[in-house]
Amino acid sequence: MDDVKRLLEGFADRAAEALPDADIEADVTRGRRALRRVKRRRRVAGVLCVAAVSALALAIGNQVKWWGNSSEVAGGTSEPEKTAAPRTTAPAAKPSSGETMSMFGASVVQLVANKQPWNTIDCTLTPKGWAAENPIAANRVVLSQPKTRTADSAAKVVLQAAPQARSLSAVRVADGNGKTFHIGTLDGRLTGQVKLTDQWLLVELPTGTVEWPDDVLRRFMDSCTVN
Amino acid sequence: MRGGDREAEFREYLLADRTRLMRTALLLTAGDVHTAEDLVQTACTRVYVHWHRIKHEGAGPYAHRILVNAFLDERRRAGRHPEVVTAETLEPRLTDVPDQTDTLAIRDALLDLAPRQRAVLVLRYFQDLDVATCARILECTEGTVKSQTAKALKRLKDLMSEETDRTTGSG
Repeated sequence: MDDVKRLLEGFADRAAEALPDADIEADVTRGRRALRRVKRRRRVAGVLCVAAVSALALAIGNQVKWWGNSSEVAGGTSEPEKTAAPRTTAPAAKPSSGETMSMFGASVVQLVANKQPWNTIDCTLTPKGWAAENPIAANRVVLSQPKTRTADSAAKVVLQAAPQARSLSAVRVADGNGKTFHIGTLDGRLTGQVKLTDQWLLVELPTGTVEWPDDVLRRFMDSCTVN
Repeated sequence: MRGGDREAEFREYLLADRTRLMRTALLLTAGDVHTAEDLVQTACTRVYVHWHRIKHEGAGPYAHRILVNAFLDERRRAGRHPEVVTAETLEPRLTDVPDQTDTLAIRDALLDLAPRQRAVLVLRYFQDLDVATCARILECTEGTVKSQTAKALKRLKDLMSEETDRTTGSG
């Protein structure tokens, strides 16, 4: 087999003899360029991975939020089926929780079955942890949390029945269950109102609250009647 | 600095091994200088990119592995999309030596071998690699290396004998 080796070596020697010297710098430059391309591709792949993981996390978070909402009500009315008009600007007082989802860290008030009869105003749902203050007036119900030790109604949920509607700022309108719900701000407080038979029900929320998204406020108002 | 180390070490490696790489490539391509240069450039570029990973095991074996695989890939692609020659092809650059006829005969013999047979011959008899290493480089079994080697040797012997008969007959 030495013959074969001699044959191949002789051929290689002759073929390589006439070649010019290799350009080492060109090899280095080519290598450098290739390495830059590889690093750039890895960076892009990394960014795409992060984007994909973030999108997945958001999607899962949304799913968890929707499942959570559907299990909270005991015998309450369903949410208004559609929104009649697009939302307008947020209330002036504080960033509204109307667009805030639980996955962003803001807690959302839970509506539970109301077992306590009120007065002229009666609702089948009530915010969890809130109770009507006694005495309950004929056309006014004030809901407060037991831990809240203040007479200031701005820190409470106030329901009022009145023959006339109040003028709200930054109003958003939604229809559902044959009713038209108006949500906006009144004296800096997130407020909702709805016409029930011949009376208007006004629901004022605590000043600066971020725990009442529009859909929750609508469901609460929808569960109420004025006798 | 990491980048500086890589370049300095890579340059040192090229100075030591590039000629050997080129000679191997010339054998694989049966004297086709341009294709051989392409293969060597491909191998050198990959060595540079993976330098920190391969320098401990030895850049040489890695480079030769890349060279052979690039050659086999190139042959596979050429087989699927063969070049159509429309002008006279350049002869390999051979020096003006008395035995140029032999050189051309060897070239023709190499060209006549299948790409894998040529690769096996070059790795076993030019690079002096053992069967196991050849099998690793070619990603095949040792049995395949042995059978390809036997076929390549027989074919080379037959071709060189034919050439010798032809030369003797015409001389």
